Amino acid sequence: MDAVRALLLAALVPPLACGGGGGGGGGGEAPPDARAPDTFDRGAMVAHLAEAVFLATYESFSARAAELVPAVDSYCAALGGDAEAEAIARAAAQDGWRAAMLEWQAAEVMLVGPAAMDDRALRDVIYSWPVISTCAVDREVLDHYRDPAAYDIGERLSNRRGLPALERVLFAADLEHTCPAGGPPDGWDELADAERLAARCGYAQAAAADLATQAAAVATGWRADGGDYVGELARAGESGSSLASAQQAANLISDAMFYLDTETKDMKLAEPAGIADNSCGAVEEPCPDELESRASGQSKENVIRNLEAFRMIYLGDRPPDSGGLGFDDFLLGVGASDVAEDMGGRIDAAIAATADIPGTLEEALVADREAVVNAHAQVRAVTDALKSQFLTVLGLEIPDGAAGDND
Amino acid sequence: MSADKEAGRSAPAGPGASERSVGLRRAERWLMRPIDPAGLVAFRVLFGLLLCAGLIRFLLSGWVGRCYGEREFFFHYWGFSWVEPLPLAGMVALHIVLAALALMVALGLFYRASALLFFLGFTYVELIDVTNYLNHYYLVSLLALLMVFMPLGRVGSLDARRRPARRLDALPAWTLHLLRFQVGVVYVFAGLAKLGTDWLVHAQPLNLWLTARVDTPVIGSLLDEVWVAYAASWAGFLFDTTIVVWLSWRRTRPFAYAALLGFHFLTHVFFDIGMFPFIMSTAALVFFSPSWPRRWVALARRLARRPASAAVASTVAPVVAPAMAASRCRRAALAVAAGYCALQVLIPLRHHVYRGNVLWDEQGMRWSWKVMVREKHGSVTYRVRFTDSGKELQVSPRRYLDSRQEREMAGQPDLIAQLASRIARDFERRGRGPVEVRADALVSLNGRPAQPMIDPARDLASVDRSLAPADWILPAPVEPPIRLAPRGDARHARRGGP
Repeated sequence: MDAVRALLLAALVPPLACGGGGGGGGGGEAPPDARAPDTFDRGAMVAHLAEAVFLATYESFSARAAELVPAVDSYCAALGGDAEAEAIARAAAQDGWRAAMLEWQAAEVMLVGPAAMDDRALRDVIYSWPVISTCAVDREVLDHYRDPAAYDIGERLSNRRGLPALERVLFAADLEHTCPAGGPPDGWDELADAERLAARCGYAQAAAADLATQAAAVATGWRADGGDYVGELARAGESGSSLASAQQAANLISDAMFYLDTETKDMKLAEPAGIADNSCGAVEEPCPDELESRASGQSKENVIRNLEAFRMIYLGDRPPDSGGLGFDDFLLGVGASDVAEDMGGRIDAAIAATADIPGTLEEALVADREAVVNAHAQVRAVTDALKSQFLTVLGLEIPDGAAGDND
Repeated sequence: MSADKEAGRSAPAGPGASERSVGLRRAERWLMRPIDPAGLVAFRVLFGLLLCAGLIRFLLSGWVGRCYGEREFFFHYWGFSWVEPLPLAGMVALHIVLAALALMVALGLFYRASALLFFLGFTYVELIDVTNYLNHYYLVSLLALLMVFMPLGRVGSLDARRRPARRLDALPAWTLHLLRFQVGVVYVFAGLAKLGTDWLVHAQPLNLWLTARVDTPVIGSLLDEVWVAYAASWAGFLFDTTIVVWLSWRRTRPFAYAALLGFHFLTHVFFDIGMFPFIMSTAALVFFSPSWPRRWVALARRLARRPASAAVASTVAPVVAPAMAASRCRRAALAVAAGYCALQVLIPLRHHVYRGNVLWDEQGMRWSWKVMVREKHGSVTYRVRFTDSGKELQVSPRRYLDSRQEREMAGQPDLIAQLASRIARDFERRGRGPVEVRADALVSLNGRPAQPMIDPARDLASVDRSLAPADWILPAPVEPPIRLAPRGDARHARRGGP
């Protein structure tokens, strides 16, 4: 068989020499025995990431979202009773939201498959950021309060549902609405404080239940007994798969990793810190309006979680040091150990720099902006490497970058 | 008046001048001698059909909208900053018209006007955005331009049927030789572009590309072997630099063309290079005898046991020389053709004037047939400095570009500078100027560690756009490119065993 392959290769060598563009070329079904023992098994890496990292993350998020429902119910039940018990219940609901949010922040870096389909429709109903509107949520709160039985959150726009809506109603610092003058939710000003709290809590219950449903739908889409997207990735290159090769599947995953560049680096760090253009017009000055989770004060933790998820994919490790196949193994497998080591170091440095930001991100923007600037620089060091040598060495393309011809 | 008489009248005195004059006359006779038009008719038909199919494919793929309708910013060629796209509906209509014109060229219907309009329209489309540049698009423009001046529509065409009086039974030999020259230039310079240490000594970027294709059935497991990359690199270099010789020699021609077909078929299968393999496979037919289609027709008729028609029978008869234009015009035309050929040789060599590594600085890269000789990925971040306050903002190219534009721009310094100018204008238009724009451009060439390609201290918004060497481009990396080689069970190696 090896002799046959060598002969075939000898015949093909001149044609191959014309070269080609980025990765993902070729296609067709690779026979199981076609891969030599010393060739890195991209399919095994993709299968591992799909099962042990992506599915595990989405299932974990689904579990956190499910746990949030009773926590919110308990908080609503405690309303109007003992103030201390109410505060404890509210804190528990907030903790539940934080746990779900952190897990979703990992999933954000893994936007492949069910949550990414249909122009990210499912992702958006879970987490529509940065398209959010606290005023719109305030209006939904009132709509729900007036006629809970007739209210169907499933018919509402994505920027009024999911984690951002829950953050609004669970973490709001006061009981005022956030709509501009002249456009308040009709009837809000007439409600007493207790009614406003009850209205928000009622909406939180609806939103939490909806979130749990959507989270379960995403996880089901990954599971073998559901949409089996794990299988779709694992079977890349085989007949029946929408992915022509394991290399193409790896490219799909690396596309998702670009979240770190577009969202984490630019939107979550650069814009609030005035490093990049922002809605405040602030240059080298804070723009807290751009913070991702301002009400909950969790913006820094979100960034750290994004980086941790990036590292999970890179190392193939969830939980840490579990020894799975990841992109570092891919780099080592093709003989690029220096690149692997360099990338790993950059990721660790970015996590450390972000963790070193004192207090919340909003506090740090005022008290120690340099710490935020440094964290941004470290994240940029990761994305610079991602977009240059990492892609080149692994034969990958930037998201949508391969569309069209080359020569 | 005969050509000889005219040549004699204009010949300067002296034996050397006389010899030159004789040589020129011989060359002129050689170029003007009549040849069988069948091969050139076949070329016209196949080339037209291919372009028609290519344009339809472009339309059906939705690339018109993507390349012209959805983009906010277009990179202009030097001297062509006035070229702007039509509205999307206009661009779609233009592509439909171009497909129709290509078909008309194939049919030989209003041939010269069709060829001229196709050339103008296609070239306009390609001039809109530099990031759309492909060597084979450039080749299409050149071939279309040459065809405008060739009387290919006066034989085997609807024009010849419409206007029999203008029909030709033969074509001048220069038409064939000019096409052969053009196609030969592509192969030879594509080969010479590989004459560098990255390609020949380090087998890059083929080592990178082949390693990414180990999923290929049957031979995939061998593609990440270093020796394969070396073999492919050297074979590719030898193929490109010598294929014209093998195609020009009658004895080796069939084998060379078979190899060429295999070459282009597999590059089509392996890589996303669009119409390139088809165009080159078709264009290379010009190296065959001018009568080659008649042999195939005759063979087909023999196989079908049908008697040869008069048309086929005439193929073996000597072709009749067409009436040629007046000698002075003819000589002027030949001089223009010679000038064109000289340009086609000089343009790909112009990168030597810039002295740097063309794969890095890209000065002299375009229009030079440097086909697939480098793999570049880069990360570019612009830094906008407000001159009044001294404060600085970082700007992502993504704000202005789509993914493909960003990918192309990241490795091409002139495009990085062009976007810098646009960013400066944008800030000033919004009343936030004056600003200076610098770029942090980290680029990996053929797998090397990314390093700065642009002087981070230079205000790119103020650099002159010209063809002069750019002193704001930093020197190319001197270390060798990466070498990829399979490492077995890398996971266990990294973690110290199972």
